[in-house]
Amino acid sequence: MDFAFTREQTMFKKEVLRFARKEIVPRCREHDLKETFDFESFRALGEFGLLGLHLPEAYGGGGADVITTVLAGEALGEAGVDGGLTLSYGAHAFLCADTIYVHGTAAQREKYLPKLISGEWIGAMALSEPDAGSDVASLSTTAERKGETYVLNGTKMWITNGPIADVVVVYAKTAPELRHAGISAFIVEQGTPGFSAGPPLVKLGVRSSQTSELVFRNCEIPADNLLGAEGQGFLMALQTVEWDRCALLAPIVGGAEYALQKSARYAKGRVQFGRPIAEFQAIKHKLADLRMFVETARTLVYRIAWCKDQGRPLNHLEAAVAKLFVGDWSLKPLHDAMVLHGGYGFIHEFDVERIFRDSRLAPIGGGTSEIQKKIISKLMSSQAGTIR
Amino acid sequence: MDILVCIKNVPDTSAEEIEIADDGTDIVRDDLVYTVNEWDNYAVEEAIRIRDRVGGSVSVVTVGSEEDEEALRREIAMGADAGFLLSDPAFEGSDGAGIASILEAFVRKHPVDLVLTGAQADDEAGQVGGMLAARLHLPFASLVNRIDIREDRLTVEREVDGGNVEVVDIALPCVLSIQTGINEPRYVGIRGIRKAAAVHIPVLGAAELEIDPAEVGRRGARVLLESLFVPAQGEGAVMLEGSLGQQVAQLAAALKTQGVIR
Amino acid sequence: MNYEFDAEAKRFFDALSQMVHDFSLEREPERALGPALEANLRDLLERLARTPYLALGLDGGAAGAALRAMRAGEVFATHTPSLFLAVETGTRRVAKLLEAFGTEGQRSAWLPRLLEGKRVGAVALSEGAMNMENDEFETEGRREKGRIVVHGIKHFVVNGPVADLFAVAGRLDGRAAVFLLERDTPGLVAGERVETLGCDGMTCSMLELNGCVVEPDGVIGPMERQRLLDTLLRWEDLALVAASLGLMHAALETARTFANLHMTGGKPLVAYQEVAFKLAEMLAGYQAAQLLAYRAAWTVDVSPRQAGVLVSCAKVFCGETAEQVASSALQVLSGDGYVSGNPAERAYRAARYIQIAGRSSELSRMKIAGDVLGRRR
Ligand SMILES: Cc1cc2nc3c(=O)[nH]c(=O)nc-3n(C[C@H](O)[C@H](O)[C@H](O)COP(=O)(O)OP(=O)(O)OC[C@H]3O[C@@H](n4cnc5c(N)ncnc54)[C@H](O)[C@@H]3O)c2cc1C
Repeated sequence: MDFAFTREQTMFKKEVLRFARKEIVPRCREHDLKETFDFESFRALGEFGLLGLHLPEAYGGGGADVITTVLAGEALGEAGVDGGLTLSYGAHAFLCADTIYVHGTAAQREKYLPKLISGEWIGAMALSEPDAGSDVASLSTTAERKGETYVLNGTKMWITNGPIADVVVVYAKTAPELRHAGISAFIVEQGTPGFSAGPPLVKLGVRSSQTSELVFRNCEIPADNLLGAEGQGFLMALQTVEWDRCALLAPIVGGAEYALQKSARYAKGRVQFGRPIAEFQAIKHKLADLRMFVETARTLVYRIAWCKDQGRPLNHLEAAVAKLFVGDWSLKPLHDAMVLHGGYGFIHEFDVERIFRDSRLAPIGGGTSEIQKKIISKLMSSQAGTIR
Repeated sequence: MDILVCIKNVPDTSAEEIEIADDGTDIVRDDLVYTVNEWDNYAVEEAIRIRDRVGGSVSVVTVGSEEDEEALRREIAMGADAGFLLSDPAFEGSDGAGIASILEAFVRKHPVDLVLTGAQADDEAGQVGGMLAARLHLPFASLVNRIDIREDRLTVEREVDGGNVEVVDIALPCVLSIQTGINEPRYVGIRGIRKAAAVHIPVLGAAELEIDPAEVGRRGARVLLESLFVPAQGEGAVMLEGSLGQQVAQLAAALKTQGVIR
Repeated sequence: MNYEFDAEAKRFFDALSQMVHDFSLEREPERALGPALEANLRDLLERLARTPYLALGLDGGAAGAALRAMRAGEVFATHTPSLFLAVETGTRRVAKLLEAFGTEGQRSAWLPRLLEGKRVGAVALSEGAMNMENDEFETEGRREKGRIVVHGIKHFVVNGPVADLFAVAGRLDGRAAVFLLERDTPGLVAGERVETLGCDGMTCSMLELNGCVVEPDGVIGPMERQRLLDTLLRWEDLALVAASLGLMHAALETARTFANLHMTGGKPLVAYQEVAFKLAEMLAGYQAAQLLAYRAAWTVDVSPRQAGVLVSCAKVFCGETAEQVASSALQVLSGDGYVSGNPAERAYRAARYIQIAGRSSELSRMKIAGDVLGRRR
């Protein structure tokens, strides 16, 4: 057992911190406040090489391992990048581009990956529907084969990057009578007749990411836009969970580290009753609790990354534990970081309220905490042996 | 053109608070994160751009310890071709002149057309470039923020007081100290880091550089740091409080009442 | 990075687990009373001496020893937390102390006997308060005619009623020192076993030192007080963390088995989300605690400067999570859990000990915050 990062990994993390602090963070507050997407930052991420960090160099990617990729996500959070931008990045790079890379044909990869990796195009992934969230298998969007095309009909909900995406990986049923086995994945491009996005939804957190409904009304796409084979969609969606449980959680952990650093600095500078509040034990407790969360969450998230780097199939129990922990155990310490800042903690400019709001997506998006508990308890009771 | 850039690994003040150690002769270094001195990045960027324009090579060199190798690798990842670590227990505690003489010894063994340094580093003395030039009997220009190459000479612009610019013509080989703002240094990507990881970085000590250990390091130092301290707080400072907007309004009002602006 | 133990280490853990499991089945150490308490400890020590367990981390700091000890301790404590703590916070901590600060003579006199499991050790640290960080030692040795005479009263001495060798922390020449005293030293009075809330198979007592005479070679130190405390508390904290992992494992396993087998309304308990989701939260807490503990122990081996804060993080998190996990297990077990003598109920009581012993949760939090405030702007 060994928890060390390689020299290259630590060097790269430092560089991401340096880059993000200077090029991205200065604009984050404004975009969060106005709920606007920061195209400039997104392109900068592409130029710096983050959008395709984990994808092969042949397509313009960085060819990095999973741990390095997760470290980069953590560094974005730690630098103070808002959860909206990191979510957009996550949906684009891991839920959209990665799926095209893993399951796409040579032609599909050639066509989409270079532009997604450079940031010229923005990607999205559309699985959830107004009536099918946790219960993925019940989705009702259909794709009907008609000669050389598929015709899509249905509505998707809460789609990150929905209103701004150039390319969307859409899950729809090619065999509506089946549950999981009837789901297939398609690539749909913006501008395709019959495909439209609703206006951005107003949200509690991750506000600079643009979330919307996507509507498919007799939307005809070339049959070549099918990803993999018919009926494989559910497995593809499941595979994105591997990234979701490390690369998408990492910015939240990094954000907590950022909140910790901010809180420590604030506590040292804020004087009440004639001394810095950092000298009050109750304040120290809050700092300690946040530190404990950060250290623990890190070990859980990097376990998922390490397993993926080993080429092992996802351990669903460990993945669910990581997701559940980051979602539920972050609530109190991040709330406390806000309270530690007193009235200023409630004010946008001090960032901690944003980190708190952004973190609240963790127990919902990509599988709620309840669904994680459902997975864990199911695996626990089916395990024949003892818990190790 | 073969260019050498002298760099230094310094505490990252953007992430860490600097505290003075109890004995007052150094800062607390235990938990500091180190990074390449900001000015040096501009120098390396400029060197890379010159090389890419006119050909040649870029080497980076630092006087330091094993831990400072990472700084060299970072600059190699940026695009430098080679790195050299000048390291020896005898070098520890060198003053500015000592560092300059170690670098001088290196340059004499690895002659180049152009030597760049950052305008200053963490100790804000800004002396190594000038001293190095003097020891090498080379022309020197400081605070350079533009370089144009004309055959065997350079036209460089220097930032002087009050935002004025001085243009000088300087013969090669020469030493320049580089000011921030001369360019926009690039960031290092994962590919660069991977490539740099495989580069061998020679470590050269006093013996290899033919340096008399008594002339450098603590023994050879003629400038000694006596103490560091935070000056006692003076009178008359006003701390602005409130949101950024409120602070700006207060500042503007204060500047008006003090007659600084009308 | 590597999140797995190697095959050889796993074999060692499995063998240890089997051995302690068999011993626990045979002796039921958590239910022991009277003389059985001492006999269990002595017999288990002898059996452990035949495995690499006792020498872990004492073989000149072999790489990864603290991490191995953490996992080994978890496995051990799953079966019998009381004896685990008796071995660790008594015997092994004395050995650690000798190794870190003892003279050549002291080490050769005592280490072999401790590691062969032939002698039971005890560390006497606590006085009026369990945590010694805020107060000076009252126990003091005075130099008289080339010897040292020790006076003082110690509380909460684990193994106090049964130990052969006491390592007594106190003052000497205005600094900190440890006095090595054998049980039959005149003036040394180990009190009766005190009744405690948890850790039923472990013994604990007061210790009085009424002018005990120590030869100079029976003194470790004098040394800087904080160094002594840090060493003693570091190894106690690591043991308490391992114990909390064992407690969680035992409580969780008991609750899980019960939830799978116990029927209500025609379904097993686990078919109800109230129960199933509780088990999931318990497992998440346990796994999180486990990984944090492993990383803290790993850091002790590879990066001692960062280890302090991570061990404190693990101490607080694991101790508090152990109580929550045990509490949830009791809720799942319902009436069965409320009846004394099951692992969940034992874990619940023992978890209180974890949070106050070593560096208490409060003092550990101060240490963590100190680190946070010290190294950041
Ligand atoms: C900001 C944001 C961005 C998103 N981005 C995307 C995206 O890019 N692409 C995409 O496809 N989706 C996206 N989603 C959707 C997200 O994945 C779903 O919201 C999530 O999976 C939950 O589904 P739901 O909203 O339908 O909740 P529901 O499934 O309706 O759940 C409602 C409540 O019931 C609980 N519940 C449901 N089933 C059970 C059960 N069996 N047992 C116990 N409790 C249960 C849930 O935990 C929850 O508390 C996004 C959501 C948000 C908020």
